[in-house]
Amino acid sequence: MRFFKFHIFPLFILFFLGPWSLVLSPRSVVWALPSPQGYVNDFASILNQDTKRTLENLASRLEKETSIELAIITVPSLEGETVEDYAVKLFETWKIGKKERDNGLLFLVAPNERKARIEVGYGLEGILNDAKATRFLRDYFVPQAKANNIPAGIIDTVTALNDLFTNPASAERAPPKKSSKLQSIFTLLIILIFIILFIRHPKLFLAMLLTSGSRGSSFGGFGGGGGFGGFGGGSSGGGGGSVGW
Amino acid sequence: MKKTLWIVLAVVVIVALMGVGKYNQIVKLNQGVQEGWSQVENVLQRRNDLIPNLVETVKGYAAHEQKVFIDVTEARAKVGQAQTIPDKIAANDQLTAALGRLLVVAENYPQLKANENFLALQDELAGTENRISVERRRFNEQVNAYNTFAQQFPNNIVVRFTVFPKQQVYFKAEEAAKEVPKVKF
Repeated sequence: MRFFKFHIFPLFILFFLGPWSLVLSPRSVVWALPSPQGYVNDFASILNQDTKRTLENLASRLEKETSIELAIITVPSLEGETVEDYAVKLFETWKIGKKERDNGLLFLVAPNERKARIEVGYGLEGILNDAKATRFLRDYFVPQAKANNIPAGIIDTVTALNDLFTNPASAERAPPKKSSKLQSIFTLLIILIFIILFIRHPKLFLAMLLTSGSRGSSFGGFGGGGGFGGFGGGSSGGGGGSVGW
Repeated sequence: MKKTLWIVLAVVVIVALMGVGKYNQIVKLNQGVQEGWSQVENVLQRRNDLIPNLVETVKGYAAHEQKVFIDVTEARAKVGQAQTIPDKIAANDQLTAALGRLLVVAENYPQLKANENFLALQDELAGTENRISVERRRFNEQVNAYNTFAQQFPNNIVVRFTVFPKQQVYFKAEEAAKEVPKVKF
């Protein structure tokens, strides 16, 4: 009995539970993708500081006014993938857009492959359908890219996208912040808990402060673009348009 | 004697509990496969909805290319009739091929290619094909998770006692058919 209890039993459990960890691992295989550095991610190094700042401002204004998250990415190589596959995998990894609204946009430019794509999150497909996304690229991006002026093409396209979504006639407006009251109550509660903790157990409070301090630096570390705070968990399903030039 | 009885009973209870856990796991994975499939059906439906418009537009410029129109219309009807997942997959592969031929025909009509409406429909179709490939990949990942789980010991024994299939069918893309509708500019 004793033997059964202490030696066989844990083995038994391990035997049954072991394979679970394999099955429950994340579903999609993604190659080593860089993590987002802001709204603008110029991995191909084709944008100068001014262009980057302009784009960051446009994207942060878009998020402020409509809560839409726009990621602009240039890559030196598509790693042998099609621009569509690359864009959707990047979207999956970065989770662009707010989780409950899926309102992310990804503008991918691969200058060496001469391909560009706008990938549209599920929640924005109604306003920016595939035909419109492709037409935007063809009208605003391709002429500039053909004239060897990709940065201007990116700015023109992003400006056009901004106009589309901030236009009062468009349905996508910033949601009324319903949760703000609840959130402030929640924040107050947390502060209250900390105050109580500070009064009752000052040493514990200090210890907590110190341990959390080391973690804080990795969070929202880039303020250059006017408040990029990471992407919010949105998803896309291959909607959007692509062009080559 | 009594001791052995207890041990047997304990083992039976533990195995039963494990079985319940495994069963729930299978339910969850099966649910994932079903959800993945419903997303696939969404995008396939989306493509089906585009077709009448596309056919009409092409007809306006190439009315005498009867065979292509008949092919597409028939393939589309078959998609509507298919009931099981493998049937639907086969019907959609046929539709993909027929649509590819339609676009090849369209290439021969410069006026059609310059038509704004046709251009927009073509973009929508290209976008929809891409959505299909995305949702198909996600569906296949769900199927893969299910199949892997259901094959492993002791899960395979549990599966046998349930109504769930031992294996789920993948949605394989025919590579040739997949390439055809890609639109070039």
